Amino acid sequence: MILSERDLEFSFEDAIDAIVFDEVKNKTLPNYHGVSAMSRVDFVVELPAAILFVEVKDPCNPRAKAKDVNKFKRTVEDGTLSSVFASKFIDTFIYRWAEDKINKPIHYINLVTLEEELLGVLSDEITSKLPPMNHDVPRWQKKLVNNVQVFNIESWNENFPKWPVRRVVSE
Amino acid sequence: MIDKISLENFTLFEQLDVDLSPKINIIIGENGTGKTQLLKAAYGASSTRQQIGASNDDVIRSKMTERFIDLYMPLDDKLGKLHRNGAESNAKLKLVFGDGKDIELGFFNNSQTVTVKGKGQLDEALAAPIYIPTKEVLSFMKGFSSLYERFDLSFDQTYQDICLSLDLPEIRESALQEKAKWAIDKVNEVIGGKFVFYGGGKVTFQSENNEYSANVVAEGFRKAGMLGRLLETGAIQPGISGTVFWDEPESNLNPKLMEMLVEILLELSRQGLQIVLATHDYVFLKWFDLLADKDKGDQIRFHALYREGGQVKVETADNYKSLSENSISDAYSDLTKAQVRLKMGGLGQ
Repeated sequence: MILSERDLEFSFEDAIDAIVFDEVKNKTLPNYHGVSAMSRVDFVVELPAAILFVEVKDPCNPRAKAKDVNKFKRTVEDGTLSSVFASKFIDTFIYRWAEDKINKPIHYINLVTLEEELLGVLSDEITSKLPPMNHDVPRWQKKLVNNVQVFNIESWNENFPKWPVRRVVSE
Repeated sequence: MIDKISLENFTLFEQLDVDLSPKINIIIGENGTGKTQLLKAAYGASSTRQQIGASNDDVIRSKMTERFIDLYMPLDDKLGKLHRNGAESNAKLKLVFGDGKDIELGFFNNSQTVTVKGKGQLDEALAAPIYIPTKEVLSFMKGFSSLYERFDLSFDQTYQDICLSLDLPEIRESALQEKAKWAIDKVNEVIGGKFVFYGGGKVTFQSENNEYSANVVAEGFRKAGMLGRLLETGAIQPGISGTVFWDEPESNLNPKLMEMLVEILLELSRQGLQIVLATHDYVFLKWFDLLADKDKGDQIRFHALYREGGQVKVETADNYKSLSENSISDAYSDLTKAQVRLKMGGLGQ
């Protein structure tokens, strides 16, 4: 199944279902979101044994608009980029819970076109802004999220050869 | 200023040529690829006559031999131990300088002294290089030099050299370059005071209201303080003094101090100071990447040491990301893979 976010095209060959979760324009589509007040990840992918929430940020897109790049830079500088990622996860989780679609372990894997060296820190920051569920509480039966991690195109492809991503030039 | 370092059968290097930038050079590489050995080789061979204690030409060979033994501390103090294991031809170490001069040292595994061709910087009294070792020294400077002279301490010569340079008197205010003064003030501002040197290695730290033992000050501050002091004494004078070699400047340094340090090193290089440093730290490298300004003439060259077929080789690039042999980048890649493996099993693979 192929999903696109602007110029980046992902292929999830082993997916049972893969949707653009951030569909806010076309009301006729079955994946139309409909709650603009909730943050949304770009894709939700259902695999046989797991669910992926995927958010994509492409500041290094050579065709990115200066306005968008500046907005991205501001979120890096003021530390809100990780908050944005965390909100997207939480609201998407609640939305999918309301749909009764949270039935497998979730992995929040993201793609940001920056140097890999910077992305580990971003991954940790996002994790720290999610609810504090990394405790060993005997009453808990489920994990909120199994992995929170940010990749760039190269590291994504290196780690997930079954889900290749490539830059395409959209019309 | 050193243009080129060539090593042949020297310590672990079979054959290595490194073309240096006249400004900033950053050496990276895994442990055991010889970063420190490369720094010491260039430092030793670019020494001045005063630094090696050779007042006349007759003793240059013996004094240079002593210098290398003191710098490397080979087993049993034998020069021959610096000859590459198993190599059948002579060890050679050659430096070519910006002014066209050169110096070449040579020896075999049974040599008692090095041969020396060319004079290099021997007669350039003002162009003495500086080597800042990994450990800061302000905490143990008091009496160190005299102890070093008398006893067989487990410190290589770089520690005595730096202590001597730090203990020099301050140069005249009028001789202090504007940017050197700026750098000293910047260091003092960040560390919230200044180190005071009383001679004989006695150092204290003075804040606005108090004076403390230098030992109670954070280690990173002591490290930054060393740079400030070397500028105060004129041991580092951009455009005049020799190359500054700095081994792992990041060790014990709060990452927040790194930006300041990089800013200062870039500015000093713009004033004509050649700097060669070895690092393992991405944050440090990245600050160079972010703060370098081509419009101001900044020239940063990255040299990655790596092993291939048992040999240490070097890859040089003007851009950190264009290095294919990048041990620091590889370490981050390994972290990414380990997290995926640990938390996602074989998903997506």
